[in-house]
Amino acid sequence: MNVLSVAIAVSVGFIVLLGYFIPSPLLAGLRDTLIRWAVLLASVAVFMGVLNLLAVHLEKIRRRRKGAIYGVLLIASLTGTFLLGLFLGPEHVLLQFLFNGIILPVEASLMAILSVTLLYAGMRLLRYRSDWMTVIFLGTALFLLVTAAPLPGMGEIPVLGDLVRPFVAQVLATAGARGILLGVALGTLTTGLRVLIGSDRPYPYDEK
Amino acid sequence: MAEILCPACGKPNPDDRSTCQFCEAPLPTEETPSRESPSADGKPIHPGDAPVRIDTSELEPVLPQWLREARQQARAAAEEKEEQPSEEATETPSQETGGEENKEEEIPDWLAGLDAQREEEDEELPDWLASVQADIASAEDEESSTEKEEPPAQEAPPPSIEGLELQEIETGELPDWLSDLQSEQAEGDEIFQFPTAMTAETGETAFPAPSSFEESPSAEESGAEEPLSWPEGLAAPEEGASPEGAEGLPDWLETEGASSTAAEGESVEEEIPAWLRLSSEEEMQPAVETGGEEELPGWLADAGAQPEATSETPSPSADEEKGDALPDWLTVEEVSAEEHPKPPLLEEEGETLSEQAAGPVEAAVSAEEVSERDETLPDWLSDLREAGFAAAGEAEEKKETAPAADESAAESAGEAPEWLETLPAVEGGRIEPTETGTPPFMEQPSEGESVPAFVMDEGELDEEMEEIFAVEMPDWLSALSAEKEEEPPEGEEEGELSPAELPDWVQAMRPVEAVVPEEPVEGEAGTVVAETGPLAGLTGVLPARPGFGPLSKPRPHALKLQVTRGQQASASLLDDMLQGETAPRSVAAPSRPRSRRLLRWVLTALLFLVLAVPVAGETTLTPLPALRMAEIEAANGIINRLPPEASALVVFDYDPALSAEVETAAAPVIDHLMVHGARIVLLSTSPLGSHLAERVLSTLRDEHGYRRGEEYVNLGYLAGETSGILGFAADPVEVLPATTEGTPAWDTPPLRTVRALSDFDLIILLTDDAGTARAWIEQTASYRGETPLVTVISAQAEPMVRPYYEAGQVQGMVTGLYGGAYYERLNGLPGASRRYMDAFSLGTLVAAIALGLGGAWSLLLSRASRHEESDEE
Repeated sequence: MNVLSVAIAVSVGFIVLLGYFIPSPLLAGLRDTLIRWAVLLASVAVFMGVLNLLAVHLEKIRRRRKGAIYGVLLIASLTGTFLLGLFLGPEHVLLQFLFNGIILPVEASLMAILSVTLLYAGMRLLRYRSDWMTVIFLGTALFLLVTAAPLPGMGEIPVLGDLVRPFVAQVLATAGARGILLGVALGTLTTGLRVLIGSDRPYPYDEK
Repeated sequence: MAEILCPACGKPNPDDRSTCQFCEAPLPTEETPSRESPSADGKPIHPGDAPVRIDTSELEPVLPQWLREARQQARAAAEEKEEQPSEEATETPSQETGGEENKEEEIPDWLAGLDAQREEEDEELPDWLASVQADIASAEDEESSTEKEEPPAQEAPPPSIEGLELQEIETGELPDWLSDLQSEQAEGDEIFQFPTAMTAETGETAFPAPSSFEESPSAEESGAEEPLSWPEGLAAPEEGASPEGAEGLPDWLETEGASSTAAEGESVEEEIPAWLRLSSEEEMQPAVETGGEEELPGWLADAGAQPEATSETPSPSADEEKGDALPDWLTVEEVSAEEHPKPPLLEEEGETLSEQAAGPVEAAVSAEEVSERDETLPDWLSDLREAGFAAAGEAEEKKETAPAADESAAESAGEAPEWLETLPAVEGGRIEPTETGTPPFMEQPSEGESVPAFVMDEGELDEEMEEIFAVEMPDWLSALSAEKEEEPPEGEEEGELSPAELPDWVQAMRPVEAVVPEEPVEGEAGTVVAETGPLAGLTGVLPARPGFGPLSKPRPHALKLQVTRGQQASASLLDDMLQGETAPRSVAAPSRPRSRRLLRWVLTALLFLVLAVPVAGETTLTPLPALRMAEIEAANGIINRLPPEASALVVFDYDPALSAEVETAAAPVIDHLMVHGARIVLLSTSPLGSHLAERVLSTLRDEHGYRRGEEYVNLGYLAGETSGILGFAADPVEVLPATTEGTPAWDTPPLRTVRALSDFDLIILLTDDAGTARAWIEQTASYRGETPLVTVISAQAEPMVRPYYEAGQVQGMVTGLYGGAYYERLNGLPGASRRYMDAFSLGTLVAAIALGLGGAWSLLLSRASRHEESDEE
């Protein structure tokens, strides 16, 4: 069984990879088919994830564990939203209301709390770690905040707004980001090769 | 005072003690014989040592006269040979020379004279033998004429001789005296013209033919009619031999020669010793003289009775019985022949000489003649004769008891061994040939027969040899004979022999270190008998005495560790250190930062105030960005260049948490699209993306009159993340065939002209995540073709997406609220960005001030606390 799963993973990976390098209609068609199968499997995987979440909370309710009431709310919300979306469609007003009235404000509020929390943490950072790196970190954050937008009644800060900020945001930050991207690309390439040769098996595999 | 070393403990002891004064072990005494027999020089014989030649000249006085003469002649011949080596080499073939040299090396010293005797044969050949040779020469012509007429099959050599030849060729260890006989036989082959088959099959004579014998004048002058009997047994039975030659032969060989000279004349007979004549007559007239058995020793009587047993059980058992007839000392040698190779002397003695002794059994001698000749015989020969009579009597008795029907066969076979059946019948003193013309003994024996080299019976030969050696042999041989008669145990027999008197070949046969321990065994030198314990009464056990075990009780040792106080202190210190290392140490928990609830509430209130007031008051305190932003202008230009009713794919891949920023930045772009009348296709890789898209369009569609399914289409959720993006880029029609309403998407006006990703006129990506932006940029790069990609992203994703823009993979980019405000300014249509600009500007300013002040305050507090801590310490 392990050999079969490894063989499937490796062969599919090589076929898709060769489909990009070899301009062959056969390989391209085979590649597209395999990719569509992957999309379908991903959709099924999302559905299976929803079912797994439902089963976990049902078990939690059945055993009446602590916080079982939140499980009841989750199951009720999930079932109601699923049924409404299944029968009414995602563009229905009721569903739009549920989205705009519950999901969007909740997530936006969390982001607002995050901003206040980050500000508070920044203010007290030097209280517990007063080294040079912390000072640089706070100084950079302070500089970008100040130069992120024109000041009320004042506009762009001379030199800082038109020279320093673009340099910091587009040179220093971009350089760091490119380094990160290169690292991510190399990591992706290595991971792809490991999956292709069967060394890395992200799929279920019995190690025995 | 001499000391004796104890064999057990090795300590010296006075020589007057019989046991060790230290370990009570028995001490070796001077009388204790050593089992190790030294050699002549007193040294033990070791394995691999070559036999040492011993000077036995002191034994010569006790040798018989004939043996002394033979030895003397051997020395003379050796000297002659050394003087004229070249002449010898030319006269004799090289093969013979080599054979003789080899034989000389193997000659036992006590028989060395026989070799010389062969060479001086012509000079010392007795008259009777010379006459025999003359007869042979005369009969040669007659035989040659008859042999030519005989078929080749009848010329088969005597099996006994042939077998002997082959055996000697293989072994090459023939004693000299027997070699002499063979030499004489070879000479006889030339002189007497023996049957050519004797040498024809082998191609050459096995024995050298000395020229001395060939040129012997005595043989020509003798004129004897009958050949010599004992060489006749080897070669030609027809010719007789003159007993006159017995004087030149050793006495014991004369016996052999006389046994076959039954047809000898009386003149010749006078010169033959009586006992020899008796033997010759025994062949002609087998008589029974049983009275001799009483005088014989037991073993000799058994030997004399052997022919009877041999005749009853034919040849297969004859070889086994041969050992019974031999003296014990020879029997022992034969038995041990498997372990130790026999010396050639004993091998031939045990086989050939015993067979020679069987010859006279064939001759019949009357009792009267025997009594007459007894007077002329020496005592030892008389005994020998009586022994022969005893054997002959046994044979005669057997012949008489045989059935009448077998009488004819018994005549030829007799009671002797079967190989003797081949001997010629002696009637009237002549040996009659068989029907084939060849002597009976020369015919091929049947399988299983023991074919002796000589015609004498082995048992009788043994008896005669014993008698001869018992009387006239050297002392050491006499001692051996005496021991044999008494049949002492082996240990005594070895003890009586003096090692210095042993010939070298006997020394080589003696047991050596490999089998005999150098030191005497305890159980034999001093037998140890166990007195107590389970082995009580047994001998040869290891004694429980000093030297074999502990001498005293082991001394007790204190178990307490012997250390000094300083060492103890160091050990305890090390122990404390180790325990201190392993003991858990309480670590002071770091001071947990206490949440300053008031400060948090103050900050929350301040931010709410700063953000809410500008939004609520719709203030315009902050001017729009004045700096030029190329990426935003590029995005704006792309939309401006879109054709009418262009298909624009707008991807909503952001979370609701960041919807405020992204939607504020995207609103002017989508508005710009609607202004240009582009048909919008909505898509999302986030489950909530389609709702966000509907939410954004819901505010604008009414403004621009966009309808679902006409001006815009919502394809819904694209599962699979990166794979879904790739699949959609590869074949969008197959991956998302329907809209969120379930209607066919690709038949709607926005998608009617689109079948691939490259068919879209514009792709706009709305995302707050750099990873999502990277996936869309990378996975659609090969499918987009010339379709431009514009990204509307959150400010936090700008550093990661900008490289793609600068690399040309993204053609336009609008970043955050600031970028949206800039885009609105480019469009000239103020929107949400302008409303939130004061709140955004004031909020960031307040946050920066709070961060600065708070950081400074925290730094002061940190320094203060450190000073306090340092003061406390």
